[in-house]
Amino acid sequence: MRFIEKIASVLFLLFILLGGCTSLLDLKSEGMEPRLVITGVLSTEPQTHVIEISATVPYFGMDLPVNIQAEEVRINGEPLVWDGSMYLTESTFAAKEGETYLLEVWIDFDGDGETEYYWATTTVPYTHPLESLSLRSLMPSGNDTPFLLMAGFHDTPGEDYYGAALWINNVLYSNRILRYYIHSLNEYTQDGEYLRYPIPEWIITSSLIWDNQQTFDLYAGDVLTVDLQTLSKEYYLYLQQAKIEKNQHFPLFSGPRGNVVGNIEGGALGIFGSYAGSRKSVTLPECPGLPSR
Amino acid sequence: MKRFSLVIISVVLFLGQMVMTASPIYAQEYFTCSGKVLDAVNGETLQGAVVKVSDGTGSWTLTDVRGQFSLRLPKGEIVLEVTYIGYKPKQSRLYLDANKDLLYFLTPFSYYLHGITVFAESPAHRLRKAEMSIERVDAQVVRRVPTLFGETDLLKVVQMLPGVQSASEGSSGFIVRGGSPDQNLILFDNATLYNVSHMLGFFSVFNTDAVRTMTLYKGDIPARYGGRLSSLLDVIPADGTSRFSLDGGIGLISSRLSASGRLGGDNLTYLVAGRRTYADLFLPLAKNELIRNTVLHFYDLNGRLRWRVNDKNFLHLTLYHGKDRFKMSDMGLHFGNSAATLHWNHFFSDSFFLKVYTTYTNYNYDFYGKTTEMSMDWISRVQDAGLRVDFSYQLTTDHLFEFGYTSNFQWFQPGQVIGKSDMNSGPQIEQDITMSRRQGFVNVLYFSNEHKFPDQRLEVRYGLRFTRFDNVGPTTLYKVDSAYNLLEDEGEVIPSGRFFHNRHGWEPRVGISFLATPNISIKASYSRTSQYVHLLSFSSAGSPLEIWIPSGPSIAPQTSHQVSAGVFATLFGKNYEASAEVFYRNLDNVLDFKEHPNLLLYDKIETELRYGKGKGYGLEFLIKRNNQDLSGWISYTWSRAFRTIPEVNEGKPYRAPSDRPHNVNVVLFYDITRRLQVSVNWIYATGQPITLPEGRYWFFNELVPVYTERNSYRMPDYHRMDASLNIRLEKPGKRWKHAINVSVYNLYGRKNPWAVNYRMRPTGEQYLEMTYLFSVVPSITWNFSF
Repeated sequence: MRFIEKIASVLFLLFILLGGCTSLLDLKSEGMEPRLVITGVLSTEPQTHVIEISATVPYFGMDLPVNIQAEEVRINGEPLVWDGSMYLTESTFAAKEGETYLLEVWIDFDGDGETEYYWATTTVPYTHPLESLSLRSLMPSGNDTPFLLMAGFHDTPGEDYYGAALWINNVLYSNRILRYYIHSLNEYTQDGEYLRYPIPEWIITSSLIWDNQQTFDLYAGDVLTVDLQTLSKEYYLYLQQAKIEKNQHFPLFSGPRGNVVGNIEGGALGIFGSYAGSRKSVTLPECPGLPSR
Repeated sequence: MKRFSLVIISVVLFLGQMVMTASPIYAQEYFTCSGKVLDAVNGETLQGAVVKVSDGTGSWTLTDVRGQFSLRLPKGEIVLEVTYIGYKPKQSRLYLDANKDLLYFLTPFSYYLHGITVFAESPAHRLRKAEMSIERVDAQVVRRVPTLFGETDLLKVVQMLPGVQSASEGSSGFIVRGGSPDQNLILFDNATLYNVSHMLGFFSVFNTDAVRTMTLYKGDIPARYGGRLSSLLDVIPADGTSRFSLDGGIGLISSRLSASGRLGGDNLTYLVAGRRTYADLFLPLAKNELIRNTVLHFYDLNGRLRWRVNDKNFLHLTLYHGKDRFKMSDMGLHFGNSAATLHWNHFFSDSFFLKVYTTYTNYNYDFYGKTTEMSMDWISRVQDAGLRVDFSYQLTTDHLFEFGYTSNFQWFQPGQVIGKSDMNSGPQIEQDITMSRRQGFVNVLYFSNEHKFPDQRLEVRYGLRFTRFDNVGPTTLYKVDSAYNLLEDEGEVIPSGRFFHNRHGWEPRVGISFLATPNISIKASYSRTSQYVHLLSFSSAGSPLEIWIPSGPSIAPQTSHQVSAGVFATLFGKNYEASAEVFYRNLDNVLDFKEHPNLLLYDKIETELRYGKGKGYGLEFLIKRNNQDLSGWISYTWSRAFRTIPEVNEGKPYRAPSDRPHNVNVVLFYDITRRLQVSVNWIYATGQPITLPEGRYWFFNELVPVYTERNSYRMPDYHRMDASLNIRLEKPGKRWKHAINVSVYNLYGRKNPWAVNYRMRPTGEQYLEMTYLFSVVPSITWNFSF
């Protein structure tokens, strides 16, 4: 019986795992002429907002992109302050819902002695207040890991674009595109209803994936905070494309690769977007799957 | 004077000799020698059999679609030789002193041939017919090609024909002359198949036991067929035999069994065939619960009935049903095809007959997942019901007229997802995302004529096809402007049964063949084709989760013009054949997607598509050897394919995904002894085009790639060698035959890339990592027939 079991396992593994082989591919692209990149996102939360300006570097090179200084950067006519690496607003700056903001950048990027002008606009969406945040166990017992975070909020009629960021004990877990959740709701999917929405991006267990193959360990009593962000359309689309580019590609399900398209006018890459956020927190319960601190 | 007299005498003698030689011709009596060639096993007529007079004059002809032939020959003794690929030739000696009507029954070779005919078409036929860019392969060749996982596969053989390449490693999808896989029309007994993959493309839906022959038309498609730009793969099912027979094979992960025979008298024969994989059969014995409950298999069933109602009426019924099942934990994917064809042949007279086909196909998939709290079910379906009426009228031996009508109704349900939560408290969530149903109604009229000129050296084929395509409600119609923005966000709701849009097109087809010498012919052809259904797929590998949609007000049909020319020759007593073809294709409204298209469950798909022009050109060389201990073929193809779409790649021309300039196929069969047979194939193809980033920048703590030109780089070249050894175990003369087949796929373990992903070292340096599917894959199968 053990023999048959072994054969069965081997056959299965042969069939399934044959597709799992990877190997280094010695193939590199040529570098490209540097292109200007402008990125900045406004939120309704009072804080210092930043605009970053940089140049692309060769994809397969050793250099990492660094920020550069422009001649002038303004939002709605107000100049921003260069702090040595980025442009900053005042610390009390908060974008207002429904208002349109104009970003303007003057820079001689191509070094021809002439200043080029780049600009973009974003209209800040209206907040969808996060009315409840709860944990839902995926186990039949209903009180053990893994948990899903359930966000309760009222969607408004028409197309709305949502993002969600997760904090764990006030440490931003969603500090990367692939750990940040986005979703859109419209008349075609679900529209204008009260939702208790399961956020599938984060399956809450005792350890979450973190950087450099490390884990972010969770304990009973840890506080999870979700910021439900209503995104401007151009920002949502930009994030959506960026997530596709950073995800694993497989021929069966992945489309052709392509550039992440932003809204900067004048020929620069990047995005100038905005969002309106709303937060709630929940505490991880004592349960068999979570250790205590 | 003496010299002048000698000249006069010589001239007189010469002229006299001419007159003496010529006069019997004018005086000789001629008779018609006509007849029919039939399969001795099942009585099927054999089209394309060569009937040759062995009298040194080289008179010969081919049987027509009714298996009939006719030769006008002088009085006297003649020897007629009848040959047909895959059958034992027959000779008969007769004295022609009156019109003769003859009947020839040819006996098919057994499975285990000594030597092999690699293409199911006679060299004479290939030389003379005004058709080109066509490959016919018999099921026996498919059985001899080395296998992957022990399962013979028709489409893997198709991928080794000149001008054809695999869409990707392990896939059933194929590329013909630089066209995309969805530009190939695949018919199984005239029923259109929309997805021909089992197991994500590792196997095709065609069970070799249930297939008789397949014909691949690489562009020069007959006027009676259409609807795709690149090719037609016409798969003809096998008929039942008049004597009961049982065939099968037992392999490591799959087995198959077929039975055929007659029911009652000789007029009704049947064939049933089935196969199933059982990679998961022993999994319930595993300790791991996840593995224990995993389901992973496919099965398919074929059925064929042939009823000879009387001498003028024949009925055929072909049935197919296949399903793939994959289930792990509470998540699963089911997909499969069903197809049925009812085919009626009616003979009004010896020269006028009718074929009527009614067909139905259904392809659907169901992707589902479930937890204790929620469930999701994603379904999609394509259905096609068709009627085909083909008339053939042999006006004279020099003119074969074909005309007819086809009608197909197509239903497309691109996708519907129903998500449900099952919470103990709070409101329930039920999300239903349904893409609008789309329906198309295609009606076609066609005619064609094959005109053989009296000297038998020139043959011309010309035809015209008219297609009208209607969009029919119910649906939600989304229209876009020239910038692909929606004219109305909500779309227009079209009620059921309303014909709301139509398109039509004329498709001329012309072919000419000139027999320059008895062994060399020169051919040329032109064809225009249109495609009214389109595949929307993220996949380059034949995903089961594919979506088909019809043309509509904002989705233009794709069209193609193709010209081809070539030289065809038979060498060394017709044991060798060689050909060289050149082709050029020009495509309009070729379809691609905008960057980062939203194809999954997106109803307003019109906003995601982009249209432009395409072109392809190339050369194909083929040499093959038939009926020898060492048989096979070697082909080399050089071809290019480009697209120009204003909104893609900044409007500059770019390589089509199928642009792979160099392709070499070597397929060899060697009979060491009567018991031992070896088959080897080697495939080489230039690497697939790939888009690589050339720059990067920071955003959201990630390095975002920047691309400059689409498909400007290539994956490493593809090549692999497969080999198989067939050991016949039966005793000579016994009806019970069996053999062991040992195959090795990818003999030297070439790591051919299937997917490429970006990786970053801790230093920030990026590198590429490829995923490859197969290293060396051995398999063993025991085949038997009774």
